[in-house]
Amino acid sequence: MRRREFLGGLGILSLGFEIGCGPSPIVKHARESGTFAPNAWVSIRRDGGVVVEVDKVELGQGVTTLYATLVAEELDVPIDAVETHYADSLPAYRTSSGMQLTGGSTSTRDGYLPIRKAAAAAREMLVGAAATTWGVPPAECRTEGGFVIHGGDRLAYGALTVSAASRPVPSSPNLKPRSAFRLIGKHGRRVEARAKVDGTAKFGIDVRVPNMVRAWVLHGPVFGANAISVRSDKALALPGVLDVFAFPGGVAVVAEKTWQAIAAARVIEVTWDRGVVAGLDTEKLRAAARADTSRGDEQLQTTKGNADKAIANAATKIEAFYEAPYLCHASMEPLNCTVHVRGKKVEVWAPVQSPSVVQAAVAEVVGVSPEDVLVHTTLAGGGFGRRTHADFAVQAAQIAKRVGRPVQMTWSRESDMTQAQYRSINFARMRGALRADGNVAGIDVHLLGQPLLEESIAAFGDALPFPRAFVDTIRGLMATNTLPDLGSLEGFDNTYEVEHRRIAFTPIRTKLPSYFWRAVGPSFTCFALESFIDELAHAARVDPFEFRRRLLPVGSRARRVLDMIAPAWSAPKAPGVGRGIARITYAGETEVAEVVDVELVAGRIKVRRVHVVVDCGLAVNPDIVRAQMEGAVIFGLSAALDQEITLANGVVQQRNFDTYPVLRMFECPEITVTIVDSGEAPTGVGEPGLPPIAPAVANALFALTGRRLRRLPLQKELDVS
Amino acid sequence: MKRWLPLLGLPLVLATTLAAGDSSVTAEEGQKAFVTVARVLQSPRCMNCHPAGDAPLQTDRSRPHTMNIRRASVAAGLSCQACHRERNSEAIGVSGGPPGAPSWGLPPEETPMVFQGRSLPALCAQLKDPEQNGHRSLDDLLEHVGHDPLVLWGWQPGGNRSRPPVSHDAFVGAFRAWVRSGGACPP
Amino acid sequence: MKLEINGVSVEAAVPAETPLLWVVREEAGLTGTKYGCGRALCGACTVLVDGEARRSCVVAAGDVAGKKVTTVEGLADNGVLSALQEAWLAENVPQCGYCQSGQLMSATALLAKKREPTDADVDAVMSANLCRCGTYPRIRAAIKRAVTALVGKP
Repeated sequence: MRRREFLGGLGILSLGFEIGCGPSPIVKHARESGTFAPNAWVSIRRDGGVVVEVDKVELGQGVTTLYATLVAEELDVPIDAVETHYADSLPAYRTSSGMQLTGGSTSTRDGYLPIRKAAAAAREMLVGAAATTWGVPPAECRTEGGFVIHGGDRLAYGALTVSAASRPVPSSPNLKPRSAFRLIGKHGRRVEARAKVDGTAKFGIDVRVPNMVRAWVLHGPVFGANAISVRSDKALALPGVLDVFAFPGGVAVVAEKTWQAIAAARVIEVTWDRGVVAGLDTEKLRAAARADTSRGDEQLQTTKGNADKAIANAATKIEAFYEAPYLCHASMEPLNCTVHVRGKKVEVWAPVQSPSVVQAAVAEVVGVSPEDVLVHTTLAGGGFGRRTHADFAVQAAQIAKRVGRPVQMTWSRESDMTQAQYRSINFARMRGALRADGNVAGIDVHLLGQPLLEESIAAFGDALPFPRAFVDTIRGLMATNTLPDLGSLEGFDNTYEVEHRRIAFTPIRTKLPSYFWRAVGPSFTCFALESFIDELAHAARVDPFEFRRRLLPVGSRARRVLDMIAPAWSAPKAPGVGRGIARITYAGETEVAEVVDVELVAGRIKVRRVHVVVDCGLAVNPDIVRAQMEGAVIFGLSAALDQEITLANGVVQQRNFDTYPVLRMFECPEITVTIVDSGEAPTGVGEPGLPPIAPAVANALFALTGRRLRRLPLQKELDVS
Repeated sequence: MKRWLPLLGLPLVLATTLAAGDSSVTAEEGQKAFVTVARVLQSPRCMNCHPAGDAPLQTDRSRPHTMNIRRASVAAGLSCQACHRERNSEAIGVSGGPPGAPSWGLPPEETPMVFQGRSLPALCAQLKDPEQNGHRSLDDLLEHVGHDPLVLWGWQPGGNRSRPPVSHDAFVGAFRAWVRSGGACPP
Repeated sequence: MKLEINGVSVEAAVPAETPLLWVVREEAGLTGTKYGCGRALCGACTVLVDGEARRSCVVAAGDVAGKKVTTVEGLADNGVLSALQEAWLAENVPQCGYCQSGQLMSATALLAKKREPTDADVDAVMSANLCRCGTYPRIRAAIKRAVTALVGKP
């Protein structure tokens, strides 16, 4: 039985063992191959090699190291002894709400116990096998360095694979106590780093399969444009060029080599139709949002108390309108996908965040069932949510369907930047009031933006593990504004204790698809909320740190994290420095507070220092947690200062890094990260560091200049205001 | 015999005139010609590589080079030729990439030959000063602006880049007149 | 045309104006050098030509015939990582890793020119290499670490 078939079969097994059904697949596999694999994640070879199937994509967030750490810990092997393999798209791995998916800062939180259990189960079976061999109680045995040890006796894991496989798979294996951790909670070198410094790391764009051709894609000036006519005679005459044809949403240029396809693309003439978003104009969207004086009654998320009355009766009222633009992801690796359609079978190699979504989408295009689509996940040169979408895989499949040979489709940077799936444009009209004692009487939020949950459900399509009828019902409820879009609204209903609040949403529906972006809804809602809290603080003449502190429940993790940033907040600062603070409870579980010091140099906003305090429960690898905070701050700062995607007459105005700038080393602040050890279970860290940076900088600029900037990106707003 | 003596002086007069300026271009005419010269030197295509600061300038708005590129970049191992080749990137099919011409780069640090922000008198004095112009004579300068490939690029810059305000021929003509005036500087 | 890449002679049947990036990746089969923007805005394609940093996406292959091209695969010496590569590992620099080949090549060119670069020197060279994951602070630390190792200070 091949490994893939075996692992696929494991999908229908729980960690339990069915007695009386003949030899289980686990035993059979061990006898045939010598490899012991009690579940879909951990296996041990006859030579003692430990292999862990990583059913997530390594985007740089450290998930490979996470899995290696958890497995090495419970198996008592050195971390260098663990080989990692990125898992194929098998049913066993559909553990994220019924899908195989990496995103939402969930890998550590969701995998911490299950992956440890997978390894601990293997260990228990190995110990049991050795104990039986020696005729001793398992409790007297210990494990170390890949051996089971009893007194002077030792047996290598590799020698025990077949006997271990015959034992019952424990459904609740004992996990190591925290006091015994060698690896979890300690700094550790990233296990996949070596390949990333010696040039051998293979990303999607580096995939090479036999007989592969390359495809470069021309996209029209307006998103979703189809080609009306294609003149390709000059292109087809060039060496290595195999085919040029239109497909839904683009024109494929197929050649033996990418450089040949690029050269050919230059001499192709295409006339395009109007596209899907002809005439869409972000300035008009802004004007419409500013003019919208409704209350967002369409999708009312929360009413607590009576915010209208509380605000009306309050001593001090303030109102503010915040906005932020569409944003693209701009990962360093442009979107790409390699597809081979072989009759009724499809094989895909790509840097994707959800193999399940790809399986469903590609299956529909090719006309097969999702189970006939096998997805191999490569390393990804960044993702930030973009690679959970299957649009680029769909295009690759459309090309591969026609070409026959395996096709590696690479999008140019320009295509990567202009093919939608943006973080939505957003607006928030905030009203708030203070009581005479300076406390918050009430807050009223009217959010406007594209409906994130509604659009992402549409994007996931048949990959969602619910009957289509159910999904369609939900989509219908959202489209008719019967359900509030909790994706867009996420983050307003935060930890602050505000007695009276109203949070409502007006969906802006355009044909330009919006999508997940790092930190999703809070990437905007935190800017609006934390800026507004700051405005309330200043209106109350209360220190912004103190103002926030009073609003947080006593004894809460949020308050504790805020207290830990107090020294950074009150540290002496040089003249000409403005200091700002912001915080978030991310996904209800990860607490982050940030203090930034900002200067203005010849009109340019320079962020000099960022202090981050984070409570993510147990930090499985503290250095990786630190790296994620640094990375999220820098990613968020790029957007906060300089980035926007704008459309004029349906055409996206930004096409490369000259018009969509990314923060560079010379403007990178000094970042200090303090990890709070709350002793709680691990929570996510990929995204939480991002949302507070924009409001912290805006708040710092207010402190420095007295000018309140309510629109992102901040540099542009500073320049025009 | 005495009637030929004045003719012996003629070559001397001619030589002196050619070296020190053509008497056909007056100082006033030379100053006027220099105004045209300065318009070209202080237009983006020329001025961008003759900045006041330590960073080259980019685009018609003459903004400091992005990516923190400055003299220190070259000194520390990132030369202009890392990105700026001998031809615009369009020559190898890269649209919107860096412009290029032979010897793309700034003047030497010791002789930065700053055009940006210079008053006309200061610009003129700097151009003529051998200590600041790399020990060039006025004729050397004329040769440079007439034939240097990097200078010529300014008039065929490609992309959306503006050209200097007068044609290269007109510029050279003005420059020549200025040289023949002996490099007369506006007051 | 014949190119020398990492000390190895490579025969590339490509037009002279083909960007070196694709010749490295597809004719020489060295995929460590990356396509990030195609317009010398991001530095992911950085290689060395006769020891000098070049953005291979805008360098014509014909321009480097007869010159020594070094890619990230050529930094290690018989499997022994360079001081910069070791420093990169010690500081846990890479996240996604896609930009890191270009970062290492630029840093190599930096240290070849300046044995002990100042912070301003580092900023003047390395700011032309983009990283979306935000590894800049660690890159700075890794360069410092490599300088210490190479200069032999304690």
